[in-house]
Amino acid sequence: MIEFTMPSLGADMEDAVLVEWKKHVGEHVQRGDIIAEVETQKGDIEIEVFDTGTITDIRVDPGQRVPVGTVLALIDPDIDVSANGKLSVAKSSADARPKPSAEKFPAATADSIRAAVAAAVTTSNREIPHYYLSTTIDMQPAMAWLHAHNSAVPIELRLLPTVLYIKAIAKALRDVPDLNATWDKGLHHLEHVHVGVVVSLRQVGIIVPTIKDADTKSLDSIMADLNDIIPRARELRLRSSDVGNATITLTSLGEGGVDHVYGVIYPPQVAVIGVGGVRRQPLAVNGSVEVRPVVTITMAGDHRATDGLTGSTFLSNVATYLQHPETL
Amino acid sequence: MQQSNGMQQEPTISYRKALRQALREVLYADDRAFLMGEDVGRYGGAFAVSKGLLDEFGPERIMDTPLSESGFVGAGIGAAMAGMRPIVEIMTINFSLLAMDQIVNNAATLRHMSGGQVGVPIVIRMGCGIGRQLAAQHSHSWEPLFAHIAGLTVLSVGTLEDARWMLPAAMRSDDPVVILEYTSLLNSEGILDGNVGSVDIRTACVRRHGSDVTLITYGTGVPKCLAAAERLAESGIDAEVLDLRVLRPLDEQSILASVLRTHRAVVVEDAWRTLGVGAEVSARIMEHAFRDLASPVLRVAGVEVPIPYPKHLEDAAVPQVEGIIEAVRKVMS
Amino acid sequence: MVDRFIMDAATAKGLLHQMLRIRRFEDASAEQYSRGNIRGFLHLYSGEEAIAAGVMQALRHDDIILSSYREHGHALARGIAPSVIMAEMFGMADGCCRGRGGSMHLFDVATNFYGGTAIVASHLPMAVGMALAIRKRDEHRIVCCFFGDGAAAEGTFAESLNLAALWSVPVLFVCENNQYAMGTALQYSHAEKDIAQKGRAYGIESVHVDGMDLLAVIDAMRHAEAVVRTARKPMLLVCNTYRFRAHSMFDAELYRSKDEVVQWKRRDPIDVFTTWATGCGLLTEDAVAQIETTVANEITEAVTMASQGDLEPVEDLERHIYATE
Repeated sequence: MIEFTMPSLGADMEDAVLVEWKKHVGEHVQRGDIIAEVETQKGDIEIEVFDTGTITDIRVDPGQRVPVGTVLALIDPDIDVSANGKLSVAKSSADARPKPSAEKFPAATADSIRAAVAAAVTTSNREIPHYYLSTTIDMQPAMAWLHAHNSAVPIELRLLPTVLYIKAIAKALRDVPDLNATWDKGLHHLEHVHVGVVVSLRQVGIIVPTIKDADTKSLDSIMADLNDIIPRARELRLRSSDVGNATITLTSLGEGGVDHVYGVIYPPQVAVIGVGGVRRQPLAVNGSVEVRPVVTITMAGDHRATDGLTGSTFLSNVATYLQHPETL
Repeated sequence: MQQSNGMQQEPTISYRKALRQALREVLYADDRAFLMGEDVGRYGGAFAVSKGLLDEFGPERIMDTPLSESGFVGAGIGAAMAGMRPIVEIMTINFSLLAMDQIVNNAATLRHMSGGQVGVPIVIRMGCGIGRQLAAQHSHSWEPLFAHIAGLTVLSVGTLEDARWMLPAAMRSDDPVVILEYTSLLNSEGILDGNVGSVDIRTACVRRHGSDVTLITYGTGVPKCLAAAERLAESGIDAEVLDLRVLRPLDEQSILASVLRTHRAVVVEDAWRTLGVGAEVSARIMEHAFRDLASPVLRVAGVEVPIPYPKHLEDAAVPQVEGIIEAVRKVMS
Repeated sequence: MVDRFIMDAATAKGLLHQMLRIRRFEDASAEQYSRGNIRGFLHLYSGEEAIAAGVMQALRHDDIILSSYREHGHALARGIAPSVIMAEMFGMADGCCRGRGGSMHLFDVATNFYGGTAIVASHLPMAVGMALAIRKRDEHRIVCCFFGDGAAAEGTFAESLNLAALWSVPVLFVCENNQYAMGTALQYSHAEKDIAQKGRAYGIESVHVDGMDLLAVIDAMRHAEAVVRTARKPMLLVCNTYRFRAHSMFDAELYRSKDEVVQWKRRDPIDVFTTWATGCGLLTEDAVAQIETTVANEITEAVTMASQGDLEPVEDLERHIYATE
């Protein structure tokens, strides 16, 4: 049994009042978890536990002032997880942060995601006749614009290329409404443009949170949505309102090193857009060959809903927007 | 040193020139040595100590710095840590406060704090002293501040001989040395003993032997005490003048040896009395030679006021020969 | 951006190892502080790891490093053994400074690591001076000096930047802008919040770097190499970052919101890099797990060794004040 004691947070700290227990008898705690809050002369401080195990006893009640070193709780330790080499990737996150690893969630959650993904893509592949298009875009203007923008704003307002992709796709969808639609024994146009963004959950599968009304949102606001939603997606903490209702899906392997990504359409949507990594390659620019950053954008379309010409118009509009990032 | 008239004679030399010769010697002796400070180069030194050295050694060895005492003293410390032997001149002790953090927190502490790994062989020279009507911000006697700092060696240049030879000795130290030079002594002249080729930076030095009383002093107190001793000799009092020279670490042995002979001591300093060098010297005599004293130790020290501008008040604020004589008569009675 | 792909698996592994070692070392430091084994002030580096790892990988063994009192990360990334640092913090003679320095004063001449200075900005002039010595001797090494946004408000910062530019010495100033000078946010300390502007005012090339993104720091160091090592000029990197833990252990964090901390933790540099490296196939899940295990063992060993160390004998109190001792 491990004794969890009132920590010594400074040579001038003699005692503290226990304000609140954040964990209770019977609860499992992990090294780094905030276990309680104490009141010191400097204010309330959250105190962390340095062992992993189950709380079996709480010795000090809220409101009590006790000296440093007083036993506050007893913890029944687990087997030493650090010795068996099975710490998960997720533990590289900061201590106080919710652990995104599967272990914190019922195994069924992870399994069910995998199962849901499996079912969806199988259905899609069986029922939707896909056609595929791709275009390679000169990213020089977009990268230059991003660089200029990002160096002028505070760190928390910086934009990622993904934001440009989302906005360009959303705007192009407004131009080509046949792709902002569903197929259910006929084409049904949709009023809003909601872009689903594929987030990869290692081991578990994928999850697709939605950036709502992406066509009318500012780039900053899309970035803010991503900053909010992606970490929560990785931690499996999405709310039901965060997913679903997408009118198109963007799958991007970012800097994952592949050039072309061809997606599987999520029914009842009628298209999926794939964005590869930005790479450098020779490009004919104004009659001469230059090495430029380029990205390949692909589209898989539902041939029942649209044909290649629609897709081609859409992709070339996306390309135009990306080449004029200031218009986004 | 040939005189233009061709006469062979013992050359006289000024305190200023002695300091300059010392600089030239150490700059020639060691490639790692360089001088830096405000106006040491193109201007020739605020007090003309380094006049001509820029032409002689070039701008890499004689570096003018901006008015950045913390910056260039710290840079000197860094250069010393990286293997150079910098001589940093702080124009006057008044500005040393701007560099005090570097001197106290870095130069003096690094060796100990790093467990013996990092030495700081820097020499920091500064002009100091009271007596030129420079008023409260430019008339400082802060020897006690530096002497208080463990890790420093603190030298007070009260004679021509020390002006000429203390710097080379300081350059041989692997630790930070603070050299206090006195602007009021710069023009004083005398003859250097040609047989002396070096001085140590460990011991105090008897400047005048005597048997009745020991005048213990440093810096500008040295000429004042010597003058007082001459006057006292006229009335049959044989005073010894002990120049402390090294204010840290204090040469307790020389102090006690002299007092054990004379049984009387008067400590003289321009610095404020409270917690000054005199207080320390007096305490050590009391601790180790109490029973050998014929009279309590007296201190003649600065009056505890910011130094005022008018000459008569300035004179009244620091020890003068008359005051020293008076104190001696008191301990003799 | 494409340059990033030249990183190979071994490099990625090494960098993740560096960052994780720092994170876990700091966790262990907090624990040992809470238990009373470490005393004095303890400032932890958690959240800022990408900077130490990214900057240090570009430095050579003979380059000189100076840092402030939040220097565990730099010392670890420089290669001082965790056990030696932990022993120093336990006040043991086995520590890098024989226990005389503690957390805020790590020195290791063997790796050219010169502190560990706890008067804010006080080490900047020393860095300039060390670079001056390098210049005077025509050496090819450089000085790298880490400090925080708080230091940039000090007069000594201004003096040092001016001297560095005036003398054209090879010093790389790395400002780790973690947004707070102790508990005072940047906007309450600096009228000009863009710290790089201060460098530019002194004629020093100054750039912003996303300090939460290891790859961005590595990219910035490529450029810094060209400026400082090749062109022999000073440079200022302003790395925007965030400390995940309190300023020091005894800190109720009244000055920042929990929400802000959570927001920044979403950009955890270790997660960001791990995600990237696993995503592009440089690291496997197994490799990451293996690094975790190795680090856990290193830290356990460091704490064990520190707690079994020997104290400096009291008779040695007055040693190392002067060279002759």
